[in-house]
Amino acid sequence: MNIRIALADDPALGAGNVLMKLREHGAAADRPGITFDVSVDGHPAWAPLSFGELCDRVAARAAWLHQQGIKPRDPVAVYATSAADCLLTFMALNWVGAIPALMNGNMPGETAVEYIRRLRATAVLTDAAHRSLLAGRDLGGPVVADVAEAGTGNPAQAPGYYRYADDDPIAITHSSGTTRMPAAVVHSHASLFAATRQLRLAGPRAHGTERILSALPAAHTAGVLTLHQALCRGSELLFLSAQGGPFERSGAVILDAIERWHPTAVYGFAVTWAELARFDLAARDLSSVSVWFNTGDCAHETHVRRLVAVGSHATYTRAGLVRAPGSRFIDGIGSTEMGYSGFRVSHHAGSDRYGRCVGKPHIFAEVALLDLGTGEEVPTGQVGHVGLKSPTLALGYWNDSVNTYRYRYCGYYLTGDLMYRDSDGYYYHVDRAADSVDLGGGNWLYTAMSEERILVRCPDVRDCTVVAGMAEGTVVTDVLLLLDATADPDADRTEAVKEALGGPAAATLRRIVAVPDDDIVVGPTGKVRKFLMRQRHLAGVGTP
Amino acid sequence: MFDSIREFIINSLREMNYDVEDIGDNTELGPRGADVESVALAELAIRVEDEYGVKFGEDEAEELSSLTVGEFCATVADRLAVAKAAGE
Repeated sequence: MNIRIALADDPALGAGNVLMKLREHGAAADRPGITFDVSVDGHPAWAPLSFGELCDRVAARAAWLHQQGIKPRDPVAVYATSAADCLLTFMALNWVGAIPALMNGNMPGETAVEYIRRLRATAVLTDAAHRSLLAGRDLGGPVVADVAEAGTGNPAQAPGYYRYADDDPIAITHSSGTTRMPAAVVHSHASLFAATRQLRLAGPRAHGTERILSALPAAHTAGVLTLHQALCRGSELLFLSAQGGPFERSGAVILDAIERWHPTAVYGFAVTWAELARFDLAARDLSSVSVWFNTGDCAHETHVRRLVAVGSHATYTRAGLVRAPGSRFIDGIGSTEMGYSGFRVSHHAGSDRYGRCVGKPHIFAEVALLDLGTGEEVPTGQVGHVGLKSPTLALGYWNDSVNTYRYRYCGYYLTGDLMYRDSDGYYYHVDRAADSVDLGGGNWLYTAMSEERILVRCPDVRDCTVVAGMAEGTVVTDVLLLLDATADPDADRTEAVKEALGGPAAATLRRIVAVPDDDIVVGPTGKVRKFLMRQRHLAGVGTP
Repeated sequence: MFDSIREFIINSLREMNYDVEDIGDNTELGPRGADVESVALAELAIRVEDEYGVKFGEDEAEELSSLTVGEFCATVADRLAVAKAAGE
């Protein structure tokens, strides 16, 4: 029996014990482990850690944590920039039964102080830069220690691996924090592994995931899922720290990394594809890439089309399996709370299913588009609130039962998204419910769908944000454009934007402004903070 | 009809260099059985479409993988019957 099936059939395997179970099922020490873009414990950056070396580095940390008195169920925050610090410490905390609370290194210090206090953390492990942000602040009493010191433990002194049950908490990750204080979401041993088991172990072997370059944030759900999937499949994984660094420079970092490391797959959030849109991709050597994998928000057609035009993929011809030009872009939509993408759609050079199509639900997901007034499902073609039943769903919000239960509805988890379904069963994301605006008379302004349409109609616009809401008793809409370097900032795009918005929404258009990058407020993962943008642009304070 | 569909599927897998000696109706297409890779499942779906005019979406690989050869043949036969009924 192959190891994938042995793992798929092991009911005790879950997100908390991947390393231990791989060893138990005979994973060889020279199997791929992980590669980082930073050095760790004296191991140089870019040099692969084999599976055996990875186990050794994690065991060293488990020994150190044990020696420091960290116990099962202790919530321990990890606040650092390096993907190695984040992921190795994560696995070590799982080893000793503690609950890793991973924090994005981009989280501002003020927010981090409050976030840690609300966690009621036992300890906080940080790098020097982040430790200075917390110095002298009231964190509620946790021990604060140097995350690098954890690597000095003696692997031989690691305690026995903690025994997990399915509903044991094994990770706290946070949302992007676009509307409020990032929400601390707690995942279970079973929930954070359900998709990996069904899709990556029991599902068909996928072409193109032999060498994965991850530009996902390590501290988020998607980062942990990618780590587990790569380890279980035996894929090589290069994990970039901080999504490739400051966003406005990350596109160059990621392209350089692709040319240096030759991945077959590149994983990222929407910000990565928007940043890659700054470059002439045809001028770069991206031939190794078969698959671009997106999760979080769904990606924009204009960004996807540029990516699928480059790279190469395996296909059958009369001559057998060959490589052909062009790659695939796997899109979906997921969130911290959903625990995995709920949907999947595959784009390639010849495909034409866009318009924010997120595809069909994954085999493990049950989706209903609901009318929250009646509790009934809306008819085909009509927009409803996404209700999700899935084994991947997080347990809830850490130390926050109020919000844990607020988003449960008729047995579903309300994701906060609005979608419609076509007659072929494909789902289309129109907006976040919180960002959409009721225009009266049955008309709505959907900001995300409007952005999609503007990008399609204005090819020299690299990215855009539609900000709409009430100002002085009336709905107004501002369209903020990030232009290509070669675009004319004074060009009149009014007609194209009005056409994209459509009649009733177009009537609310107040202004279209080309803005510099730093005028768009983003959260730690690069997601636009529309809540703040609305405040800034609609309340009359600040001018673009 | 079922037998000819099965023969077509087994022949297709053979042409794609899969070892078909031990493949029968109860063999799963996915990793518990024939271990057909995703790209080969997509190719199999295209071949079935070309031969029988029965369409499988490219997003159905997850479902196909969990079927046995017999279940896949039955699915093709069912869709063929539905398509014929719709055409009459």
